[in-house]
Amino acid sequence: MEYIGNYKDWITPELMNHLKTRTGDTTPVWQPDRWKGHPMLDEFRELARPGFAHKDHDFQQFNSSSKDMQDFKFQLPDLPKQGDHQRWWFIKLLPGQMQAMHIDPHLVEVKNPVRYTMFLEDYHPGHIFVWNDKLASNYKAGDVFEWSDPMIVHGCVNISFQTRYTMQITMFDD
Amino acid sequence: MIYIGNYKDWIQQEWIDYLLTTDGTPRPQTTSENPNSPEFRKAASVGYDLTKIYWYHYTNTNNTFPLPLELPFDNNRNHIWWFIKMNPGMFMPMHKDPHAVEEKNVKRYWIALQDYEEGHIHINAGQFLSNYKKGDMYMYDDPTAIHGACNIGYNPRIVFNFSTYD
Repeated sequence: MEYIGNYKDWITPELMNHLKTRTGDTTPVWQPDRWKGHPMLDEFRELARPGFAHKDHDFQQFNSSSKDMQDFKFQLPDLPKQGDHQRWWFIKLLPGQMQAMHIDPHLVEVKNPVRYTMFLEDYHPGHIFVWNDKLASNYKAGDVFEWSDPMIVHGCVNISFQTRYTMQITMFDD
Repeated sequence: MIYIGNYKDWIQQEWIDYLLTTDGTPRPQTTSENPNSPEFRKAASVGYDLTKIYWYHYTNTNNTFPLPLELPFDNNRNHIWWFIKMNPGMFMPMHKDPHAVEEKNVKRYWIALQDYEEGHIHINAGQFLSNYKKGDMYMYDDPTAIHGACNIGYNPRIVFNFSTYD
């Protein structure tokens, strides 16, 4: 992860209020319909099947298709690298919610992906994002990181007592 | 976390087999064993479901671990020990160990029973343990430090914990 800069001013009270007061899409951790069509996705689908296929693990997500985002308009932050297209989504992890170790399914479908993560609130113990045996910690609200490898295996979980909010962006070409 | 050394030879294979094939006390589901503590009430207030199973706990006092075991050292001090198993998707919210707060001169230890796997997470005072090997023992810098654990990997996670105190 390469630190890009702090975009705290982009995070408006209206955005945070929106995310905090809406549910978003309740998304299952195990997504067999999305985790297919690529050897890595096939591998993760089967690795996760025994532990996650029959449980009620899920997380909250807001993206351009979410009902809860149709009445909320905003412009993406002006990040250093742009692509022909952008895909964005917010992740809201309630206490106890998680995403098992995985790669992002959409990345196998796009060209020249550049993957960013923005933390929307200051680091809080128990807000866990791990990749390559590393933990993101001590970040501040608005800190943006570019992933050194968009296809890296990663996961997140919230074992704290307050909700965790992040924004994810992928830039990609035709 | 202070690295103490590797105690792989102390770990018995029958312990591993037992833990992987037998479930201990389900926590926090077993309400009769959960104190009506502020931490449990706080957890429930933010959405943790105390009727679910977040981890399995094993110890000698309730026969959930019936195999013979002696601590690697300090058996003559007051002590408690327990194993934890987390299947994929299980976790233990951030907390302080009650005994570490209540007892005097506590030394709190943690031993890996498996090599590190991605998604097997232990957080202690902001420190993430990774790349450890089976048998690696760590001592908490501060036994009262807030810590937590989870398994977002794909295989069960088992660890051994013990504390000694005056």
